[in-house]
Amino acid sequence: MSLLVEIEKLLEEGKGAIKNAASAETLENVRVAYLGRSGKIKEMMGRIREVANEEKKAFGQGMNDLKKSLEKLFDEQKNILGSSKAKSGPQPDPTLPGQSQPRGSRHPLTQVTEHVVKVFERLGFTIADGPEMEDEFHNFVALNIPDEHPAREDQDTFGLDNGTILRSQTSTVQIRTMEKIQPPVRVIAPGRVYRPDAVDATHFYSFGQIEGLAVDTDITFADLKSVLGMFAREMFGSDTKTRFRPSFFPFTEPSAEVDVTCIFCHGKGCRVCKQQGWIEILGCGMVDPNVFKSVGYDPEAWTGFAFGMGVERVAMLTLGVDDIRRFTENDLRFLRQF
Amino acid sequence: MNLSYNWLKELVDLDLKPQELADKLTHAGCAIEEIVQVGDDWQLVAEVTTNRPDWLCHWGAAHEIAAILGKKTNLPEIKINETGPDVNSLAKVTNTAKDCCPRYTARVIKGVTIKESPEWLKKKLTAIGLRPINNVVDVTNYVLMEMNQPLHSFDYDLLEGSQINVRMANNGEVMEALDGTECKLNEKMLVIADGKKPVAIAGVMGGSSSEVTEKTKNILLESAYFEQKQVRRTSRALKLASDSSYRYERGIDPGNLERASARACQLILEVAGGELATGVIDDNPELGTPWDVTMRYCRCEKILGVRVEKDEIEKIFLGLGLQILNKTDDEITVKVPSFRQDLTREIDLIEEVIRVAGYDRVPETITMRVGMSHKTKAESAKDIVREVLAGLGYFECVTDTFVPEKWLEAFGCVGTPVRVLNPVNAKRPMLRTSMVPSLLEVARINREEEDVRLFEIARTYTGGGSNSETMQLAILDSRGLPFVRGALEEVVKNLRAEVELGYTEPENPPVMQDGSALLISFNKDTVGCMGVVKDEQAKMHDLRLSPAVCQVDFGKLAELPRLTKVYKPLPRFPAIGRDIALVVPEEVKWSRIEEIVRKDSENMESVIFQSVYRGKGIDAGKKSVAFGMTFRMADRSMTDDEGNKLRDDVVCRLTAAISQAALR
Repeated sequence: MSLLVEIEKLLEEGKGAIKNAASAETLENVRVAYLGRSGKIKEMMGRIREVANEEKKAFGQGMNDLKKSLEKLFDEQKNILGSSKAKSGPQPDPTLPGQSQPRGSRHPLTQVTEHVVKVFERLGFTIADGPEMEDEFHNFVALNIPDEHPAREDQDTFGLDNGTILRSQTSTVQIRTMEKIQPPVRVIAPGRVYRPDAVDATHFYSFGQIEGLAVDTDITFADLKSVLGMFAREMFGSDTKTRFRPSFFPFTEPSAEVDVTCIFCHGKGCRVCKQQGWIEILGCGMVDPNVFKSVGYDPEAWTGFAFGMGVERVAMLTLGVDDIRRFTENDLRFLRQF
Repeated sequence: MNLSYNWLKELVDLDLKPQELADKLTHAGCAIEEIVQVGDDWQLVAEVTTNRPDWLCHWGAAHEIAAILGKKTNLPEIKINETGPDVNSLAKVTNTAKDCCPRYTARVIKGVTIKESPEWLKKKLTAIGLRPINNVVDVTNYVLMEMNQPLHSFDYDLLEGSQINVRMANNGEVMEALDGTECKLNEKMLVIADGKKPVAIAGVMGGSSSEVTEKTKNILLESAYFEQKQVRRTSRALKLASDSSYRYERGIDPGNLERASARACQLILEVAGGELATGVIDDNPELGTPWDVTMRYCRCEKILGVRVEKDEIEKIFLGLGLQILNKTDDEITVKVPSFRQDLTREIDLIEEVIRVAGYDRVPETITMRVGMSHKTKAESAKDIVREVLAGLGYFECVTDTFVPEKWLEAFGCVGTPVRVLNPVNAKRPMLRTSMVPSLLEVARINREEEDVRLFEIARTYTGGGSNSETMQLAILDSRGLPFVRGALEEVVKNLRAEVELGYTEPENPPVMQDGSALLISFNKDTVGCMGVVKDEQAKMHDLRLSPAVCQVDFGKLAELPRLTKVYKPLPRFPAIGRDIALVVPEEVKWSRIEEIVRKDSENMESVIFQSVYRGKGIDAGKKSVAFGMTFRMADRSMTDDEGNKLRDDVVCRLTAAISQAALR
C-alpha cells in the first residue's frame, strides 16, 4: 500500500476519532494521539525515508494537508465542546450591573444662575460683581432711596459691627459698575444678597439675585421689552409670552414687573400660577435720572434700563422645589437630582 | 389697603365686574392681590407701592379708575353749616414745631351725641375690614379711607385750658395711648399737648385722657400735616403703628387738610348732630400749593421708544387731574395737584404717559447697539473648576454665610471676624472666616453616605477696618487627603495654570490633625491649606470620621497666568520602566524620597508613588515605600542594561542619603 493511501486512511481515522470525542478530555487525548509530539502524524513523517525520491514531494504535501485538516477539525470540535467544558473556574458574567462612576454636579442654584447669565452673555452682557459688605450709599442713596425713604421699610438690611451692611440687592453692582466705567455699559451681575426675613418655605435670609444694566445713548423702553422678551423665550421656551405691569422701584422710571406665561400650563391656569396663567418673574425699568446723577453720568446724554430677578424663585419654579431651605441644606440626595 | 367695590362704584360710573376692575387697576400699577366677597360687596386687596400714597383711599383710587377708563368721578359735594361761635374763641392752637408739623388745622363741634353709627356707615367700614366704634370715631376713620387724611377727634372738654400745643415732647413725659400702651416720650418725638400734658403722639396715636366716649359732648377735630420722617421715627421708636402713621410715613396730601376736615364735620353733623363753630384754625393755609412740570415730547419718545401723540398725552394728563398750563410744538407744561406728590420731574410725567396708555403700546423692537461680552478670568476659572470637580464626582454646595461663633474659635480665625448686629438666627451671628466648617456641616447632614465629596466657591469675610471679602475654593473628601490633593492638582492642571504649585508643612497647623496639614503655595505665595480635620472638630460636627479638606484663595487661583494649548511631538522611542520598593524608617516622608530620586536623574520621565506597606516582613518602626520610574531617551531606544543602571544609581543615592534605607 502506498503511503499516500495510508495518509488518506489516517485522515479518515483521525476525523472519526475527533468527531467521536464527547468530552474535552477525550478530545485532548485524540489530539495527543494524532497531533502530539509522538503522535501518529509525527510517526508517519518519520517514514519519509521509505518514500521514493520522486514521490517525496507528494508525500510532504499530503502530510501537510493531513495535519492542517485535523488541526482545523480539532479546533472546531474544541469550540463545540468548549461551551460545555466551562463548568469549573472563574466565569465571565456580562449580566453584572455597570460599575458606578458617578459624576458630581453643579449646585442647582449655580445651574439656574448660569442658565440665565448665559442668555444675557449671548446678548452681549458682561458679568460684573461687587462686594457683599456694602455701604448705605451704594445700597440705597445712589439708588435713589434716600435716608428714611418709605421704600427702605420694605427692605431691611443686616447691620455689621464693622460699620457696613450686607447688601440687600444686587442693584449695588449697577452703581459699582457705573462708578468704574463710562457707557456703553452692558453688565449682568449675579450675586448673593441678604435680608433679615423670617425663614419659611419660601423665604430665606440670604438668596441669589441677578441684576442687569444697559446704558447707552439711545436705549429705550422698547429695547428693555425686547431684551427681556428674548430672555424669557430662551429661558422658558419659545412659546413664552411676557406681560409688563407698571410698578415702582426707586431706581427706575418707568418701572415694571414682568410676568411670563406659566411654564407648566402655558397660560391655561394651574395650581402653580394660581389659575392666573401668568407668573411674576422679574422687576425692571428705565434707569432713573437720579441714579445717573449719583454716579456722575449726564442723564440727558445717556439712557438705560435695569432689571433684577431672584435665583431661588426661578429655581423653585423651574425645578419644582417646594422649600427654599433645601438649597442651603445640600443633602446629597437632593443635589444628585440635578 | 382694602378697597370696597361698591364704594368705588358710587364714585365712578363703573360697568366693570370686580375681577375686571381688579385687572384694570393691576395693569395701572395698583396691584390687586386678592378679591374677597363681604356680604353684597367685594373687598379688593391692593398692594400700594410707596410712590402712590394717593391710592390709599377711595377718592384716589376713583381718580385713577376714571383716568384709565376715560370717565368722570362723582365725588360727594362738601357742604358745611357753620352756625356756632367763632372757633378762635373756643380753642387756641400754638405750634412750636413747624419743622415737624408744617400745617395744623382744628375745628370745634359742640353738642354732639355719641352713639352707634348709622347702618350705611357701619357697612362701609366693615366692607373694608374696619371695626365700627362710635359715630364720631367712625366718621374720622371713614374720611381717612375716603380722602387719605388722618383725622383725630379730641373730647374738647378734657383738653386742659382748651388749648392745643404742637411741640416736641419733654424727656421723661409719659402718655397712655388709645390702645393702652404706656408710651415713654423723649425730646425727639412730636406730641399734641393740651395746657398741661401730651394728649396725642402726633400722627401715630391719640391718648386715652382725651378719648371720645359716650360722655363726650363737644369735640375738637384735628386735621394736620406731620412730616414723614418724624412720624416714621416715632412710630418705630415706640413700636406703635396705626392706619394714620402708615399714611403719614408715606406722605399725605398737604393741600387736602381743610377739605377733609370740612368733609368730616359735614358727616359728624349728619350722624352725631351738634353745632359747628365758625371758621377753622389753620396755621399754614398756603401749604400744598400746586407746582409746574414740563415734559418734552422728544424726550418722552426717546425714553419709551414709541411715539404717543400729543393729543393723547394731553388727554391722559387731563384725566389724571393735571392742569395744562402751556403747550408748544416741543413741550407741554402742567400744574400738578398736591395729591400727586410723586410727580415732580419730567421723567415722572413720561411714566404717567405710558402707564395710562398701557405698557403694551411699547413694541418689542430692538435698536440698542450691540457689542461683544467679555469673560473675566475669575468667571472662566469658576466654570472650569466646577466642570473639573463635578467631573471627578464632587457636588457643589451653597452654604450659609452666617456661622456660629464657636466655629471661628475652632478654626483659628485670621483677622477680625465680622459680627451681624441683627441676626435672624441668633445661633449664627458671625460672617464666616473659613469655608471648612460650612462643608463639615454639610458632611454632617450627609453622614449616612459612605462617600462624601463636596466643594464650594464662596466668600469669607474679615472686618476691623480692613474690611475684606475673599473668594475661596473649598474641597472636602471623606476618602482622605490624597484625593483632595489630587482634585486640587487636577483643577490646576485643567486651568492650564502656569504655576509652581508648592506644599510646605506648617509650624502650627491650627485646624488639621498633627502631621497631616500642608500649606499650599503658588509660586511660593501661600494661598491656602489642606489636611485632615482634627478629631475634636469632626466631633463638634457630629462626624465619626475626620474628612480631608482643602481651602484655596480662589482669586489667586483664577488670576494665575494660563498656558495656551500647543502641541508637543509624541516621543519616538519607547520608555523603560523600573520599580523600587524601599524600606525606610517611619519618619522618612515621600517628599524626601521623591526629591532624591529626581535629583540628577538623566532621562527620567516620571516618578510615580505606588503604595506604602507595613507589616509582615517589615521591621516595626519601618515601612516599605513602592514607586515606579520611567526613563526615556529622545534619540534611541534604551537598553535593559541602561535601565538597570539608572535604577541602581537611584538606589545608591537613596541608601546613601537616607540612613537605614534598604531595598526590600
